[in-house]
Amino acid sequence: MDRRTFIAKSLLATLALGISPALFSSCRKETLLVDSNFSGKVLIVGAGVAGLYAGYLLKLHGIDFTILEASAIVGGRIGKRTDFADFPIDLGAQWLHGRNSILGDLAKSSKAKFTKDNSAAVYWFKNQITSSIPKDVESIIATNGELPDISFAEYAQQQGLGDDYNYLVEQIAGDFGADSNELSIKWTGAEEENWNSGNADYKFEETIYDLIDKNVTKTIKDSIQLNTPINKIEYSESTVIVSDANGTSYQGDKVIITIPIPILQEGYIEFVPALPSTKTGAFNKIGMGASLKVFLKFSSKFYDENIAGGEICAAYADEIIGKKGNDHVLLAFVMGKQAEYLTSLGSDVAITTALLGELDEMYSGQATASFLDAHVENWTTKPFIKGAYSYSKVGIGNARNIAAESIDDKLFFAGEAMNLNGHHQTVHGAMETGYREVMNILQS
Amino acid sequence: MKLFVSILALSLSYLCHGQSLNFGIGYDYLYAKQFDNLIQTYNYSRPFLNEKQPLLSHGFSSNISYLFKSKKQFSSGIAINFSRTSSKTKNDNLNINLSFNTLELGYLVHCENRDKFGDFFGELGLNLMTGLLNKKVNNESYVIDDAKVKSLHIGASFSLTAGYWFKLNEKLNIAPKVGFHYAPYLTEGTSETVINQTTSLVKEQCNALLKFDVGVLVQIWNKR
Repeated sequence: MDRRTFIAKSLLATLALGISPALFSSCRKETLLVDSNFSGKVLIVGAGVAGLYAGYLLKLHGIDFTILEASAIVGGRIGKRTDFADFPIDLGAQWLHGRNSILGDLAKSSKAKFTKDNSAAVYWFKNQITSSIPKDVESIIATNGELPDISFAEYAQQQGLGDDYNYLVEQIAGDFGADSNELSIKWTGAEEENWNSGNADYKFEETIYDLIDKNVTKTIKDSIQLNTPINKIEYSESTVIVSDANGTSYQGDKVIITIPIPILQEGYIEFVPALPSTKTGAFNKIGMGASLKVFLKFSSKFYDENIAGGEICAAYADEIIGKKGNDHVLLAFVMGKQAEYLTSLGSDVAITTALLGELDEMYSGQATASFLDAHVENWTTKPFIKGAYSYSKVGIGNARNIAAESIDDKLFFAGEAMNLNGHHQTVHGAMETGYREVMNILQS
Repeated sequence: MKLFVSILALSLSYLCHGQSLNFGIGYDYLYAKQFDNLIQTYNYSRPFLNEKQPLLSHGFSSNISYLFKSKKQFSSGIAINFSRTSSKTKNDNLNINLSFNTLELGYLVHCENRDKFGDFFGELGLNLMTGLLNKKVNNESYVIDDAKVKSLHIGASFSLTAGYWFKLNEKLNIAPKVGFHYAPYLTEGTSETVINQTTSLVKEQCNALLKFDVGVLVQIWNKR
């Protein structure tokens, strides 16, 4: 090869080498689903966070969709009230559980104000308030090692946490949305290992409801149909027919079902043909306990930031943490059998009186003396929700995976209970299932 | 420190045995489907971010190789290759900087046949490859519960390099070069946690990796 030929060939080769990465780059898309062939109609049952986020993504992809919500409001298990105190209160989900999640990204990028909840806890132990207890109850949820598939309560007994610790164990189980006698130590531990959003909790100066409303709901408001309780889904033909309790039918090519697990368990929706028994069996293995949030307003702050271990309510929390205001509001976060008991009292007044009685015992009668007002948000009695969030019952196994599988490429399941990353029970977990199912539809 | 010790060992070996020492630097183009899937899912799921995270594609590489003396057209040696690919975005309050660093340590077969191919040469390498995926959020290391989160990947790679020597003097040659590195399997690591903040949501994973590099190689001969 002479010098001239070499130079010519080198120039050509350099040009080709320079262009080839650019050509290759143009074939690689920065985002998924830009080329989806799907152009049908999607019906979303439920306007909770999973349904809202699924709709938000469908809208951005130009896919026709309608969200059918049974109740008169959007948000599912998030909500807010602004006239109870001089700061907004979250009626449902209120903590950002770790900021390394899609919800955390939304909060950061939208410049929502949120702060780490560093509040300290005291314990109601042997009928007195104490800042420490002899045994470390938190260690019960240690995830290392193979744990037996037994309940939290049984495991606590095995670990030597006797009756004095009953309501402290209940407080931990309540954090997982359950009665300690129902919650599986094995499967809860396994799911905790997948948890990767961070263990710190954060609170919003406004509410989670505001964050979702401003950034997601507003974009798709026109596609949400309220007061539409779906009670029948026929999916044997190529088009799915969804009917509501008012007798109106809707047609779609795909349906994303985001309703809470108790509504699926009780068979409120009739599926035609019936869902496979493995599917309904999987629904029934997922637990969802009773839940109440009671906000108690006082004229003075006599209480600690967090009180764990009450017999009526195992978890009280100062609601002002992370908010800007002057009012004194204590949240009673009641789960599982404690929520069932309070619900059985029959009225908001009776519930409030029972909680004030317990606080009076803890704080020498100061609760009743300074009581101003109460707001009872009973998630158990809401007809289309019936609880707080799902938990893993003893024997749950891989039920969540089966429950979340799509049926005939027409029915898709989302919502916090269908999260398979250990992020069930959370708003960001619900968002993840929303985008997962849109991804499944557009890739199907 | 480890790199310094490696360079020192190679240099000493070179001085003792009088062989060739090659230094290379170049542009790197990375294709890793696993990272593509994760970044695509991240971008798709977060349309509220104005700027999309670019795929991990562009970077640079540098390498050092030491060739044992041989009178035949084939000689062999050892090589270390380092490359860094990065992807940056600036969004309100959420600036993400992803970087993927790979280090390859391997055995090299070098081929030169002046009679047939003139000053062209080719190299085939078999390497142990380690990769580290890092993330910075708002210029701070990605931290979950006070622990830095990175994703470590380990595997094997093959590399193929071709170039053309230009003789500068008796002891110094320079060559433009082009190379491909292919790792058929790298361990998955925790890349889904680092990129998409989930653990098992992104179903289809392909743990192969392909790199293309173009650059220059400087060869120093110690003929004694």
